[in-house]
Amino acid sequence: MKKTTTINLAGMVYHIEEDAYQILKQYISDIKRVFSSQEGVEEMVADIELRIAELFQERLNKNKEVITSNDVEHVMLIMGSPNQFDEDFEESEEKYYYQASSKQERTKRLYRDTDEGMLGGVSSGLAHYLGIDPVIIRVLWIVLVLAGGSGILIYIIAWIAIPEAKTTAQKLQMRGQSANLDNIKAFAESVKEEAKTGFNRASQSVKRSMNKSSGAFANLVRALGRVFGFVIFIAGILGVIFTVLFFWADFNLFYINNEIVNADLGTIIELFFTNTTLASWMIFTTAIVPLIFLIIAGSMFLFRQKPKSRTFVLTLLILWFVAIVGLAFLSVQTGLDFKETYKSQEETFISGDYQELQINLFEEDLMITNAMDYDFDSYLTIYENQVKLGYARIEVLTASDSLFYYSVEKRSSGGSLKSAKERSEEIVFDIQQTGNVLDIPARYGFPKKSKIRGQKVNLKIYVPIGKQIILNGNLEQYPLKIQTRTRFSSDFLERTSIWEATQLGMEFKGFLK
Amino acid sequence: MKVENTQAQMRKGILEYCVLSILSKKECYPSEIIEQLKEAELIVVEGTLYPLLTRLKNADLLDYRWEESSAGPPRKYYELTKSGLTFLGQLKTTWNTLNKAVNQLENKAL
Repeated sequence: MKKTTTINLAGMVYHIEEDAYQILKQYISDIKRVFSSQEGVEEMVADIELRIAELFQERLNKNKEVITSNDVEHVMLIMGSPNQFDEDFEESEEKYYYQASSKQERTKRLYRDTDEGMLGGVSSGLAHYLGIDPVIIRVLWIVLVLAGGSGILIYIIAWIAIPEAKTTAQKLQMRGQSANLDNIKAFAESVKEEAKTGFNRASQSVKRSMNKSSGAFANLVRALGRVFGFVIFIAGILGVIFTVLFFWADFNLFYINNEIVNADLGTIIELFFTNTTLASWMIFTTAIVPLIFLIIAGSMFLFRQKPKSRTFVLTLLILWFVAIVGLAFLSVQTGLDFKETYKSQEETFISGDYQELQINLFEEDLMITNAMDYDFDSYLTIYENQVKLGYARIEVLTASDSLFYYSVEKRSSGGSLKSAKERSEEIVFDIQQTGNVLDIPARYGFPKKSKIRGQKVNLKIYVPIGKQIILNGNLEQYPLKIQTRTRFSSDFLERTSIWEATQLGMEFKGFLK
Repeated sequence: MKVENTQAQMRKGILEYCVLSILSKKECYPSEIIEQLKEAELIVVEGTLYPLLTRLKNADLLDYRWEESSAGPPRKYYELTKSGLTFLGQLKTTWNTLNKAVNQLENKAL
């Protein structure tokens, strides 16, 4: 007993068996494809259908009412394959042979395999199409996701662009099998088997029966997949734990040249972004979603299991995109906050007829005796209400005046000149003068609420001609510039050094004994 | 160089000529043309005729009309148009020339 269907061929009704119908349908669509470039192909196909109808008519009689696959094959033999139709095709040998040899592949179509797929079935579908194990493609996705996240975008595009294999015929086509009766039967069997065994997926058993030869390789790939799954699963979990700690605990993990910045990520975000809460949530989402995906991907490899809910995964993806877009927006907004720069300058004269000026550099109320220990470029310390960002740059120059004096330049950026000016005024840099001793804080600070907006402090110390300046401590590594008469070498700063101002610049006099 | 290619080339032109020639005698539906061509062993598979008919029709060398059939689907009768007739005439001249040329060359003793 076989199921039949009815078709309308050139206005005649024919009863045809299901498998025969599939073959005929394929045949006609093959003709259409081969002649797709020719004008009037529809009419030609209609003519051919007419002839097929006639040929069917010849094969039917009172005792035979149904077209079988035998009949269809007989008709196809008479009509010939589409490649034989047009002698033009034989002219170009290559084309002809290509068509003939790739006949098998040509019937393969790219679909998403939602039966075997983990998420949208893109990997599984691609694997069928390319004839490789889906694990390889999934590993590639994860590599792409880790290397910049482009994998997620490509996946979504593929998800949207590639149609899902819904019907049995499409599912078989996806695997490169023609939808003939045997294949449909085998497929149905395997589905039944799945229902029985419960854990073995149908398509897998179909696949196993199809390419037994690659069994050993597939097993190896699968084992590697598990190891890989375990690694990324654990990596994902650790990542989530650390990310949460970064954001919501005072967990100091930012080391800069062995010096711990005593702030959690949240504080650092607060120091940059205008809208702190929004920014931290967005950064958190941006960071945590790929990690959750890692966990999901890892568990997929590890337990060979589909994620429980696709909606969950989709929601995460959408959240991730929103966060990234939002973050880009906030970053632009923050960037605009650097648009204007304001410089304030203040000069202070040191009254009194001193022959020499002593310079002491202080940090945390301690005199710097060895600046070799500091990293002066990216040192950020965050206190309860104050931020210290880097070191003041100091320059020693010859003064045209007869008095020692120094000028402090405070610089900051802001969205407007006004806010830049306000910020520059908020910079704290207090120089203490006692007699001929200047106690200079090595670092400058500003209140947390001014946020990091390119604040800088430049200190210029002017020495009258003929007078001396003593720089205390080893300042070799300190951002200190001396306008010298002759070649300057930082060796001159390796111990407490004495400098004298001349017409042409500072002159090194020697180290203090 | 494959002999099949050359054969196909030779057959291709002749096939067009023969189809037009058949249709010049009387209007036919495809099955009739196929029968004639098969008898003359000019085609192997029936499908060959259809792209050819389409091309000739697209070139306005052929026209057709429908006719009901008592047993089976309706029939599409093809016939030559005026330009089809002219075309055939030109082909005929060429064919005669070629035929003569081939015969002459083959039989001429050198």
